[in-house]
Amino acid sequence: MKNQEFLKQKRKRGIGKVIFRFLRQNPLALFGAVVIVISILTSVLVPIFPLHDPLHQNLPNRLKPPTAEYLFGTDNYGRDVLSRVIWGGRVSLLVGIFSVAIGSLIGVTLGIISGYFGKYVDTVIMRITDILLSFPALLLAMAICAAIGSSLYNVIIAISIVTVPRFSRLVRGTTLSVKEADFIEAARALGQSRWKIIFFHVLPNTFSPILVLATLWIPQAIITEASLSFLGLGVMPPTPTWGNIINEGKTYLMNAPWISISSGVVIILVVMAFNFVGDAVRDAFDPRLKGEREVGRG
Amino acid sequence: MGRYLLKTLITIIPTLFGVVTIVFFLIHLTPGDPALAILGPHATADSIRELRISLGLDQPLYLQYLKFMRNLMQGDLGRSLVTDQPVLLETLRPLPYTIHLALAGVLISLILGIPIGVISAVRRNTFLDYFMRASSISGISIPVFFLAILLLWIFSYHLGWFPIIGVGDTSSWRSLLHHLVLPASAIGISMAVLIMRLTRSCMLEVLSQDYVRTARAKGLAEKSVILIHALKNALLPIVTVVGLYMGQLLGGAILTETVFARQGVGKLLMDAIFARDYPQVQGTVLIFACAVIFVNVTVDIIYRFLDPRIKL
Repeated sequence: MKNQEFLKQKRKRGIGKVIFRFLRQNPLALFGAVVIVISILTSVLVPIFPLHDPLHQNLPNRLKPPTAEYLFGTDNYGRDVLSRVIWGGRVSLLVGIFSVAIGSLIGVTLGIISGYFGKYVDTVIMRITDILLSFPALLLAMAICAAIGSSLYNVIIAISIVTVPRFSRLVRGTTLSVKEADFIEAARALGQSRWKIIFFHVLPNTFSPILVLATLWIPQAIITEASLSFLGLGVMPPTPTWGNIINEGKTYLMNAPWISISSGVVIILVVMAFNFVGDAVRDAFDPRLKGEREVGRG
Repeated sequence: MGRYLLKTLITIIPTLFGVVTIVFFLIHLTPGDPALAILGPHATADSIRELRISLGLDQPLYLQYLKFMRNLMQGDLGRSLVTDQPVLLETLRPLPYTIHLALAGVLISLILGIPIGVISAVRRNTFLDYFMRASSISGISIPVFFLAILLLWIFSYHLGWFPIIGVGDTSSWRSLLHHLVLPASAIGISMAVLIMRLTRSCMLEVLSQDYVRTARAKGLAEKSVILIHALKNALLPIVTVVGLYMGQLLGGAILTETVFARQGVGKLLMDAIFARDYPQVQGTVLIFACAVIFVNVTVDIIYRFLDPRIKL
């Protein structure tokens, strides 16, 4: 019921009002959206915050528990954990959002080409998609990072590659069904070029499942980045990311648990926020995708 | 049945072939010279050249690939650069520990996930249901390695109930089990969340079926309607999907083995990556990926076998 009402409103009102109504009807999504906005704003604005330098070492101050000056305590080099977690969020969110953006862009392109042109193009693209999907996501990302080396850009490349087949598979399916619609036939009869049809008619109609998958994949990408950094295959220290802060703190779990735990709690909070929004967006746009998370996590 | 099996086996051949090819090129396109990496920066040009020849690295890439494929057909994955033992043997040695971990993880996830999912479905839209669904979203959001660290921190460091690292004394099953509890719980809990969500949706679907109404109408106790008529039918897709989680399970195993320093295949892979033991990395990734493909196919076959509605 709620979803139908939402879609009705969508037709009547402007997009800003629709988003506002949508968030008001979904308190969990509202909570998620607030957390996401706060975390993105914090990451963007962190250079102007009066924080300690995340890389500044202060050995006499090492492994200090949380105090008023160091809210999240200090780590084994005496660095401010709060500042490291916030700066780390900058990297982690950047990787999460960018890799899904790049991966979905390539995946959507391949999916539309595959679905629209069919025949051997479809066979080749879908074969490669199947092969990439048969790798466990983390294992593939690990193998790519191990091969091309650990750096911010390489982590984004690795997670993008893992993301591509998920989108191409989804978009191919949607394209196949949209392709047969009457309005595509009409556009063709009017003599529009293939690319015009793809860009102006097919693409807009695959948009809602893409949006749903993207909101559900950003948290996966953030977790994958954290896992890679935790394993020492992601962004290298001293640059902080949520994963490598947990990894560094692991050694001092006994006497300084605040290092790992503060970073872990922040990951959970942000990933949960994306999941809340993702679930609500999915329910509103595309109830058919209900099983996507269950199967798509591999 | 025979025809179906044959068809399935034939269709996975190109996938396996693709996986092998991708892994080979990924490892061989690695920037930097493996020979230099093995011998270190102080090696002489002569010794590097010799090692390159003995590793076959002086040949063009396509020849290396053909040779690799030929050896692979004979079950030869090359030798580890660190131990000089066959890669296959090196991988099989820690395999039991990873299998223990994976099986125990699946078991815990089923024991936790199915009952909670059933209760959530039966008490749909009650406070209990909302609470369990909210915890399931929170559960999905916890990275498995962080869950492992939390368990380690609480149950090993603070309470001292469980050992901190390793797989335990291999000759005593009690010690093995004692060391298995925490890592398996980390994997089990993170998977239980998914199983719970799935059980809930499968149960809701089954509970709305006609035969459940019939069972109720003929006066059966609610307990037997739910446990015998509904759950039995809902279990089928659940068990299948457990197979689809294999990939995630392996990812979880690599991470938990790292946290608990368990000598499993995941730890072997991590050690090989850091030691730049290329043949070992290649072999382990290959074995992992192929294992996932085989489990998925097997589960698919079992599913078709168990469900008489699907014609083979």
